[in-house]
Amino acid sequence: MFRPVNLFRLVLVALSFGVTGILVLAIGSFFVVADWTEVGRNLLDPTLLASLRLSLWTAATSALLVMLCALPIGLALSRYAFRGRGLVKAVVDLPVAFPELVLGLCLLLCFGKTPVGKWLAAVGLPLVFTKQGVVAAQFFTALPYAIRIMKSTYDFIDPRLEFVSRSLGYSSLQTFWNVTLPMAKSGLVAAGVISFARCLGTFGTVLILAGGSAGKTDTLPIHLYLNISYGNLSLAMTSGMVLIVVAFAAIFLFEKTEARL
Amino acid sequence: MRRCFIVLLVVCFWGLSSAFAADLVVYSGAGLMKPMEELRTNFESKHGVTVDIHYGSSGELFGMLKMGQECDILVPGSERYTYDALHNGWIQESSIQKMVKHVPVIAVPKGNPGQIEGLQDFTRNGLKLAMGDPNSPAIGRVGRKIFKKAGIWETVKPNIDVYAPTVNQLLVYVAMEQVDGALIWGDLVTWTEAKGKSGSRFHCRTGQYHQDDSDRLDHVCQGQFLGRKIQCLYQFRVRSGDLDPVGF
Repeated sequence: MFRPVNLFRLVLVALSFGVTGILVLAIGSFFVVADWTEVGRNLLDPTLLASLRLSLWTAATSALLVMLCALPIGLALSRYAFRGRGLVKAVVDLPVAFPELVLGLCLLLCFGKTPVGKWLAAVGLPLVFTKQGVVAAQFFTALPYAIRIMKSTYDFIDPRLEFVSRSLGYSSLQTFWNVTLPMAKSGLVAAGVISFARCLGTFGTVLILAGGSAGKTDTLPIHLYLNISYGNLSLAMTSGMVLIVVAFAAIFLFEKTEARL
Repeated sequence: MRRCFIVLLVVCFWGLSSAFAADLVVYSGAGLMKPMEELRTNFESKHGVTVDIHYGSSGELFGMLKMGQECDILVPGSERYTYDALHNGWIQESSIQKMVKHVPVIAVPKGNPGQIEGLQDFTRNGLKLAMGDPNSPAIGRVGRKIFKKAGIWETVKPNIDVYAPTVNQLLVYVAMEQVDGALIWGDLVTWTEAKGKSGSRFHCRTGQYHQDDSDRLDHVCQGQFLGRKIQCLYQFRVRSGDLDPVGF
């Protein structure tokens, strides 16, 4: 009559629900505690809107740059054996294990008053305490994640299909464009969405490299942090809500797109 | 393998449970980190209790209290925050103790590349300055007041490249030579991390700004050296009475 209880399965499912429940509770508390009249007013706050605009365009720019680099680097790491491959992989992966603040300090030292920093400033790309610095901070924070996803995606594509393409006369570039890339589209979307979400949420790296100045380099996470510091909790919570909604929308779009691919 | 996993789990749970067992929770201004850590070590070894200190800008600490978080001791970066907390009913008046006086100083990187010799130099074109956000850390609020009293706030503003949310961040930017100068708390200049990296040139006070020369500053340090360890190490000045270095 009754199916025997699989205790192992039960524990796993209970754990999944437990952790998800805590997450839902934590995220939901933002929305439950909120005073919606104030939230409505805060959504029109010029500092929040400026911060949202800055976050969206910097995250979109950074994610685009990340993808432009992750596509070839992922392919190189997946397909080619070359001297120093292990080193490249380890160094590129390093920021994943770094606290963001450490990465921010590294970038500050590299792009500050060094020859590299001075040259970038001379060609109109100063990265310290500027909006361009926000993009650089987000780029280096998100890049390792995108490279990992793209490498795994390429790893799962059968290289024999590429050999066939080459034997039928396509060049390496044509093979990549016409064979590999179409087969990697779901990984491409995943890497793009994860990069965008990671860029949007970058905090420590932006805080150190771009300074986190109100009205200048305050992306949404910095806006939230600054408003906690100012004691303006209502505006801080609204920034958090906007971040959650934008991140949720990105993930939702990803799920929808992935299902269609 | 299985045994290792179970041992790891037990160690994790034990670690977590002991990490949450603080007997005393302190909210402290981030700029006070060094002396507070010394106080914590002394206090813990003397009384056998654990002290959990949360550091942040004074504004951030206020935010935490406003959100309903609780602490046993509040040590903000300036007196103004203490009285704001009293006004909000978060602390008892009888419990307020004035510990030390923070002295704002002009900090410049080693070698003084911006050739800042006084407050008026902050108005010079082409300088890159860092400043505490006037709405968050106490040094930001005090700094703006100093510039306003000197009548140069509007001229200094265009030179400010970055408004930092904590005073520690200002120290990082000065020590790493990313800016030509900043107003920070005098005690920070002597932090180990900043040694040899930055040098304070002058000190000034809100309301009665006066330019001191390096000799005078050395004299002040020497005088403080005769005081208690905390003060001499970090250039704090005793505000009233003796401060017990092992008691909060």
